[in-house]
Amino acid sequence: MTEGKILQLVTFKLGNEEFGVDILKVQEINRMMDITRIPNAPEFIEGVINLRGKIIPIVDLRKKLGFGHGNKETEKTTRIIVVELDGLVLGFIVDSVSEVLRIPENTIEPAPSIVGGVDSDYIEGVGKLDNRLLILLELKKLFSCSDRKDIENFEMN
Amino acid sequence: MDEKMSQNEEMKEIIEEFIVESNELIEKAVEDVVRIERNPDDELINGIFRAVHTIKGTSSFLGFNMLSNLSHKAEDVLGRIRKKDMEPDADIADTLLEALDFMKLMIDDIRVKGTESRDVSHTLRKLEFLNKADTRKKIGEILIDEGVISNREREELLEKQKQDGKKLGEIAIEEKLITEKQLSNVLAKQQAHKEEQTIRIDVRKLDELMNLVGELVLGKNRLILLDSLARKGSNNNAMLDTLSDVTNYVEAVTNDLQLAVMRARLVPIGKLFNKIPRLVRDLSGEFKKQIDLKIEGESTELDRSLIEALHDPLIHIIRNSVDHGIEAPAEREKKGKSQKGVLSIKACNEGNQIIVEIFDDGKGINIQTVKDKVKEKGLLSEGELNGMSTREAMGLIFIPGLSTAKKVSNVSGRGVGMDVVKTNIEKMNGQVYIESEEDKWTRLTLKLPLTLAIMRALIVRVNQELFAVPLNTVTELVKLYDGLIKSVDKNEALVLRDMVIPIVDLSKIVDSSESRIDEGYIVVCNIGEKIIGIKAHSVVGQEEVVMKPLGEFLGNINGVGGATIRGDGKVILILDLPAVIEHYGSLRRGFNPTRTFSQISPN
Repeated sequence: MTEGKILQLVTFKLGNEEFGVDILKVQEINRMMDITRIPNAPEFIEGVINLRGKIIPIVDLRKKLGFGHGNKETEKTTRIIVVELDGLVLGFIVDSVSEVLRIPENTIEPAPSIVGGVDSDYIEGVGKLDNRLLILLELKKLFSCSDRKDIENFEMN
Repeated sequence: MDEKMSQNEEMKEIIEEFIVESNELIEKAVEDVVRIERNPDDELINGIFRAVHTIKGTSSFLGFNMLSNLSHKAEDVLGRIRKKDMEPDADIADTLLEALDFMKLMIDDIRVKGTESRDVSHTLRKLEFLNKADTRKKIGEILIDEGVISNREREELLEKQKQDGKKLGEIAIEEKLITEKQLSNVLAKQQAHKEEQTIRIDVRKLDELMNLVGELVLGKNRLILLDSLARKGSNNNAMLDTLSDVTNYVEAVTNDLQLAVMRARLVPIGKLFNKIPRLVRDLSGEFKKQIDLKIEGESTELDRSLIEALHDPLIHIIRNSVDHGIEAPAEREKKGKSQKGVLSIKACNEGNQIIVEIFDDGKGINIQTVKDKVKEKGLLSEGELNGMSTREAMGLIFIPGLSTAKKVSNVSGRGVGMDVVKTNIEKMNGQVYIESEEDKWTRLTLKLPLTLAIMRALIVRVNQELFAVPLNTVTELVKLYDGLIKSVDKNEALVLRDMVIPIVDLSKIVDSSESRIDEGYIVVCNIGEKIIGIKAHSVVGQEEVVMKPLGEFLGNINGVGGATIRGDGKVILILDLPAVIEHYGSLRRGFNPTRTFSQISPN
């Protein structure tokens, strides 16, 4: 990791954990909206929304990351973060969005094998802040091949 | 081609245009070559000649010398056919087709690599062989065609030309055989370019336009909704009247616009049918069958994307008919049929659907054989098979996994891959039917919608969810009352005018909670050979929906064909009925749905 490079992250909360994603991947942040559920979809798919005429899948990040049972009551702070990954647009639900952080890249350490119940495959690293830890999510891994496999396996059943 | 030139934007454009034009010309020429073999019609021959001539001219101008050389040689041969120096027999047609194939390959090369590289010496030699004598100057022929000079006069002119080496036209003027005006007319004819009232448009632009119209349709729906809400809420009001007027106006204009854009995307199915004669010709050679091909309804129009999607299934069906449908000449004679088998392909409009019919008078389908095969493969039990009607049994041909002929030939057998045909057609919201009489004939009927993007749907409510059912599959609605639904072998069924219709309870697929539907409607749908009823709590109404894919991330979700946005901005799912039936089928056989909706709590 080169020194002095600054990362800009959008940070958000899910339960007690604090997460960060690269700001360049984030397209927009929306308030909770009506979600249309999809029968037969993989478990972590919450449904689809209408984003200005486009239909976008919504992922329940809790289920996807495998902690909690998902489906926390929607609160005022609940947000949908819409990200774009190689042309793929999708949204995920978070409890609240905190802030945009600028942190030097060298404060980020590789993830220990298990962090906060999240499979470390999905973690790019852990950022040390003053007195807390920030989990940096690797969105591409989180929403790519394994999900496809899930979906494919599902169809086989 | 030197670097600078190809980098030049203008040049690029010219080359691109050349590629598009040439591909079209070649496609048409291939079709015509197959035709002249049977029927050496002057107009057809002239058409092929002009096509090859145009390609020759442009390619030499653009510096594609190999292509130009090949087309030049082909043109010479065609010139001789045109002058009736020779009859276009099978050999000549073969050579011409070979040359045209190479020309197409070269053009593909140019598109991909910017230059052509093919070893065509063999084809060139064949063409030269056919072309022993020199061809004569074209201008003389045109003058004869036009009736300006006689054959004898042209001979004289050619003699003179050999002496003084001038252009034939010039000599003709000197000889006062023709006027200058006539000459310029003829020269213009030589260009053979008919000016047409059409322009080429990139399909992407049309798609974009279609998308925008789709959005507009949604906007229109919202406006209609708003209008009806506003009128419900208050009494007479001049402003509301104006709103209604505007709404009606926008509705009418949007509908017209939608239709107009849709029409712009329609292309005649002939574009697809044109390839069939060549295919059948090649196949009948391969399988030593004699086939009389009949094609009707080439001018029937349908959406471009459908034409593309229809290509593979149609070719598959035709291959099946030639390979396994129509018998060898000797076998046919034994059966008392004429040696030549009939393969007829028809297209026509029926309402806002397109019907494509593929008929052959071959050996038909032996239902018992099909049943045996299904049993042998363990796809269905004997009991299930015995209880089937002829019609249902015929539909067995579409069951996946019936494939047997892999080892027999590289061409699929009847029943092989028919499930793929069915799946492809159903993907387009279409339907496939098969009818057959053993030893007599087989008829496959494909029903397709005019377009994919916009369709009419019936909106139904199951529990709290709304779903759209493609309207072209809905045949009727039956109001639910106590005792209407009978239990047949633990499954629910509805008896409607002597038909037993199995019932699909969507709420079971959709939700894990056991909420039975005791009131509401049954939506009777007809998909291919199957009729099913779908239980719904209520029917909201008919709506025009714009089909939107669920996106790459979600991929294919079983039972859901796509989604659409309703007037109020909410997303509703469009049911994929064939998949629902399959899913339902697996439920019936005792599999539980592996997943159901989870509860969510929208605010």
